[in-house]
Amino acid sequence: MDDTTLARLGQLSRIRLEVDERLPLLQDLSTILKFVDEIKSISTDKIEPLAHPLDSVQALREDVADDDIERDVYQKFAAKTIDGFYVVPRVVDP
Amino acid sequence: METVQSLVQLRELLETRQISSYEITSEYLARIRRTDCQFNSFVATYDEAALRSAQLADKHISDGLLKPLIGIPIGHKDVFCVKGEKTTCCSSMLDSFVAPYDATIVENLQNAGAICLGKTNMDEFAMGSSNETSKFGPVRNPWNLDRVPGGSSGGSAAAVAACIAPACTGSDTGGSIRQPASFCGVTGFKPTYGLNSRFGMIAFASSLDHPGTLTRTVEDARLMFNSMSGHDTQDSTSSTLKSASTKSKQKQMKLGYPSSLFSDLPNSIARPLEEARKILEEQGNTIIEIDLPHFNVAVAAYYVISCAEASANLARYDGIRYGLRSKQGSTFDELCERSRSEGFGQEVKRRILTGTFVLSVGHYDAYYVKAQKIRRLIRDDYLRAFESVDLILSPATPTTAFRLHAMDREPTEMYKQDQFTVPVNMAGLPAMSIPCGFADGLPVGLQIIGPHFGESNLFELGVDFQSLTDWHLQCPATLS
Amino acid sequence: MSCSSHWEPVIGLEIHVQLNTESKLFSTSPASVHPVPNTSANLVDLAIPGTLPVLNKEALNKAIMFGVAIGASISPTCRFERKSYFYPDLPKGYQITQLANPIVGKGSLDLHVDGDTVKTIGITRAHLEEDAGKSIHDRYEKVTAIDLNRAGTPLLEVVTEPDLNSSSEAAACFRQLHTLVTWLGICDGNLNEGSMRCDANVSVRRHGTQALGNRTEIKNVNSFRFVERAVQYEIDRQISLLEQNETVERETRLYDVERDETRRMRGKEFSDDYRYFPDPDLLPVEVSQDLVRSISQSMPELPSNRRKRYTTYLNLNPAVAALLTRDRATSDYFEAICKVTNNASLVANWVLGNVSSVLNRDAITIEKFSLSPESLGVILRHVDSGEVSDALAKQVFDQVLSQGGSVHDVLDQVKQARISDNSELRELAQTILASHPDQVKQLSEGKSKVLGFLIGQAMKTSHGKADPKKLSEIFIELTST
Repeated sequence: MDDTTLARLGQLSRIRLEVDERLPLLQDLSTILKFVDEIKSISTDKIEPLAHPLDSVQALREDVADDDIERDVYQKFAAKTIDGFYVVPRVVDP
Repeated sequence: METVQSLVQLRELLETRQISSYEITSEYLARIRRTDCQFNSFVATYDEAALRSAQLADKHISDGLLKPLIGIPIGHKDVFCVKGEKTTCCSSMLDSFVAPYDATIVENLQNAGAICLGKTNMDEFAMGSSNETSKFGPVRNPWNLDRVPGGSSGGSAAAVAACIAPACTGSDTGGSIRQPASFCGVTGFKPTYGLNSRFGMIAFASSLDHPGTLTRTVEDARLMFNSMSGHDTQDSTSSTLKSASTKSKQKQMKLGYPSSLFSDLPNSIARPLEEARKILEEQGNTIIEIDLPHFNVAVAAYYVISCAEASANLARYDGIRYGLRSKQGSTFDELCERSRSEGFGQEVKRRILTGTFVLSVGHYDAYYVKAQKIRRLIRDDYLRAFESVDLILSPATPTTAFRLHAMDREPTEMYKQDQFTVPVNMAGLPAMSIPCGFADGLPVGLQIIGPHFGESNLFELGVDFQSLTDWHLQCPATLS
Repeated sequence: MSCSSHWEPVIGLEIHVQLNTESKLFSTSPASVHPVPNTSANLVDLAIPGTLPVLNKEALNKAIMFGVAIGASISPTCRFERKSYFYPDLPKGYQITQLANPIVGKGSLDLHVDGDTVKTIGITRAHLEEDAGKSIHDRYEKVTAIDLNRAGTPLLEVVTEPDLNSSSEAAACFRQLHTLVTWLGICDGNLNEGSMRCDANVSVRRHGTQALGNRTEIKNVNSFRFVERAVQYEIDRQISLLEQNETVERETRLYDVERDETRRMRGKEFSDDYRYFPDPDLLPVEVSQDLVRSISQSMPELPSNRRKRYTTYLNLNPAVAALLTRDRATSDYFEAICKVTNNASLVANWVLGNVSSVLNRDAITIEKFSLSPESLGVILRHVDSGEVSDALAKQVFDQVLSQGGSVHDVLDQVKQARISDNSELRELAQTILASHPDQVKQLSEGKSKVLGFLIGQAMKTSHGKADPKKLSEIFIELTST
């Protein structure tokens, strides 16, 4: 874990890292990684990954639409809307 | 009304009209007002709505409309959406978020007649084992106000311990119900993965998150579970299988005992656990030594998986549709970065960054896939053990409640708090922590773990144990 | 423009097909996008905390149907992954898609140009994923407006092998996939509304070499013509770069319709890191053999099969068969007529000729065409038997379309108005013969083909009213003496 990696992680996860945060975070993440590196001590040859604890399969849904949608209620807790649109500073394609 | 009341007792009082729901609800609201300034276990109370519901419940009771939890007030961990009420996960990020819908378990409990007292404190986004990362400030352990209540369901555990709520909901991703239950001397229970719906529970790590309860007794946990659980079409991981949670006949059970888990404990904790084992043995249960070979790497693998899932689950907080939006930021990227940076606390950021790391190019196989493989090994350890035993006994926590700030600079030390609880989440097993004594004046919890859908035996053994002991009825001195 | 024959273009397509389900892929909001912003986006689509995805069974079935149609293997268990990136119209901060176990595996598509199979295109895979919302950049000053109505609509992303070697093949492939998905009824095929969007990966290499050149990706083209033009532009651009010993950079480009050129959108040098991992909110999906079987049994007959049937059993030429099977409604219309009359090539000519012109004139699709195939069949049966000339049949056709009425009544009317009086016909024939001495000479030399010409002239003069059968007899009689 180095500063470049940390910066990249911050960029990927859209977390702004202020200058004074970087060093302690770098230390913490290094500690955490050292800690989780323990998993490398276990041999997992021919072991299939397990994504879910139960060997069950997904329950699917019938294709029925409902229009139980209350835009005005949902937009009450949005910081900014215009004419029913959510808005962000203009995104310009490079 | 007595200080200590189980749900079963309250129901009895209500059904026999010795007390009204209005009286009970007023009493708990008064207790919260009176004493919670010491514990900080509730972050919001719904006094008016609760009392209104109580009056309605009284009417229903007098009309003979009896539901399992009718008129009984409970608290919800602030991780569950309650329609029309703020649901914040105790994060600045969700300061202004008013849930537009009810979580399934909130609805189920309400349909069973329960009344919502308010929301309980928790670690931010359920990430933590001490309830110190809440934006509402730390919760204090009713047994010793210098100590943490455990986390992340610290508010729920403290509220039940302090008798300011008869029962509370909680969520358990790596021990977040059982560890605070152990620290606060209450009964903490989570069922098999998929039995309690996750819909409306704000996600931390989807494949590990289990809704559950903090109650005074095991009997209460069963009562709550019977009302909360059930298949939910809005959660596709929700199980279509039913768990047998009604009373079963099986009395003598084979109890797995992984002795290596007990051997490193400090004496003060080992002693009550040993006592508990003896009590269970004296009841005719057989203790069988078992081995869980991959126990030691569970916490490390858990952190890889839970952080990975969390890093994606928390990507939705971008400041656009809800949640904190930074005042600064002239581009979308900057706005998003600033909002997330201002909205999330340090521990949440650490976990998002860790999760991002383990999923990123070049690290995915070495961390994420590897951890998933270990997850299988851990689960298979349990499946193998359950071929020869009915339930497994385990410590709930490696220590009793520690002091506030004791782990401030040691994130991984805090993670180790969950060493006995994490593997259970990795395997999706039902488990509970029940009070089994004290060490230096602080509660000690015994963890009992069942096989998938083995809730019935779990409750049975827990009820048995509590009929022979009174640890679960003890009250902290701070209350008197 | 360099159009060097030294270079071989290599093209692969990624086509997003919007499946026409009632509800969205993982939520119950309506999949048909509402014009009022954010009114068809529910709690799940908005990624409100605590909400969870639940897969739409029908979307899965439609994907399976596509897979069966291209002869692909259907994955017995498939799963969904999260693809993480931040964009204002991506509410969860990740897209639910399929990476490791797509529902549809390798299959193929026979590419036809003018009805001939020119090659078989490999389909690498097809997978289900959710669409994002819409970002509107030009509506308000300084801000981008976000409408999440489209967020969560089901897409089937079809990925082809880089088996295409020209811009026309690329366009033909897109067109044929369009035919297939609309034929199957899994997509409304409305290109203007973005129901199918095509990304093209283009590279060129020297003929005879194996290694692929650096490729560029052209994003989001939504018409057959634009795919052809964008790919052609890109091929030419790359060749001219290479011929000047410059390198083609790996990048994403956008096709500018107005200027007919592609423009650089972003480079690949800071390649994105999407951090794919299995979505822990979604368990593996089990696809049973029974399900696949029942879907394949419920499927309509495929265009390729019909084409084969038309050329083999109806003796239509491949180009005609291809035109008739360009969409299912046309093909169904054709087949319905064929149930009434036997002359398939006559029916084909009418469907592709007269019917098609009316459709073009009125700008409607055949589903909206007012003349039933049974009625047209009755008209054509009369033509086939020689009772009615083609021209007269056209009159009947036009009259029924413009004035309504039953085909039988109108046919009777015109038959009555027909010149069948022998003396009148004889007069007409004599006029025609008198004005065409050359043809008369040829006829007497035994060139019987000329007879048709003369009858045609007579029909023309009589505005189609003459009885062609009788005319023929009269011409023979008059010239054989």
